[in-house]
Amino acid sequence: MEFRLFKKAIYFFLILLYSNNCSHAPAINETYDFSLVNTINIDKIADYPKRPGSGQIMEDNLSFIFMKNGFNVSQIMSNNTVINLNDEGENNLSLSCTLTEYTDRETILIPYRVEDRGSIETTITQSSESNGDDQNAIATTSTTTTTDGGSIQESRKLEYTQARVGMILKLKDEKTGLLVWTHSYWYSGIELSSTAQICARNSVGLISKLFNN
Amino acid sequence: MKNIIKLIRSSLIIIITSISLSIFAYGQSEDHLKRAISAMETGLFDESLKQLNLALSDNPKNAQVHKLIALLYEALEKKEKAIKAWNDCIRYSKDQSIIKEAKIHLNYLNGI
Repeated sequence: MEFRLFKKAIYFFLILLYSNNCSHAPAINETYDFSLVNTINIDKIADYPKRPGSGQIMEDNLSFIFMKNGFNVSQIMSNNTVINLNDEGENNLSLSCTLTEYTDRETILIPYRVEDRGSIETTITQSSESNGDDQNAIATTSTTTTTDGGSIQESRKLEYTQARVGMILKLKDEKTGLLVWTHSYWYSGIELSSTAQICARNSVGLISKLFNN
Repeated sequence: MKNIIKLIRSSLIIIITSISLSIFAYGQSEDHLKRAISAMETGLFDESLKQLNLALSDNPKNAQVHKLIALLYEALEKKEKAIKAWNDCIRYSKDQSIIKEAKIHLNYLNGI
């Protein structure tokens, strides 16, 4: 009984470990001291192919969300956006963003499909036989497990459009060139503008955690 | 002999009726989905949700419809309803890309 519980605990631990490894958490240089950062300079963001203005929209979204998160944002150096963190800090970081996706007319098919994921049914039958003397009663337990693999039924298909925005962000120390934080993220939605904003919000939220703002 | 013919005739009537009814039911759902997509693309999200819920009543296990409902609730900023729809989408979907997308949305909506 205890061995079974131990086995279950090990499976649970392995699943947890696997799911953590598969999550889309950012990569961080653990040795870097983020409390010594003076400013973050947001590099010009290149437009996504055939999407003029997409880079500027994402840059504006990032500035907006940084401000919403309580950071001081300025745009004095040749139109570049600068996030001011700590006046006593010695290091400056540059934030670069590459748009990996910026589409609002991606066509997704909705098949009219019925998915039966199947089921596992376990029946436990218990019976006891007694010859009248309670001390000599015989108990029998039998277990039957039925597995149904499920099925998919599909009919005609319909089309609709969906927005999808993806990006890769990198924070680099300007003096040493050391990459201190990087993250890739994508999000989908019905409207392109709100999807881009959610992408920016998520990324800035993660950057904010580095500076405990 | 007459009895056999009667039996065959009544069986055929039952089969034809059931096929017609199932085609009608699918047609109804497809109409709701078409109306939902048209409404969504013109920005009428509430109407789209109404049509999608009607389509779901015929086929509650359609993961793609649950996904569309979740996206619409997100657009309408109805977080709790969006979370429920994404969870339903995961429950009924076998498509790994949809499950992955649902998990990304759930992480965002749950603030992870």
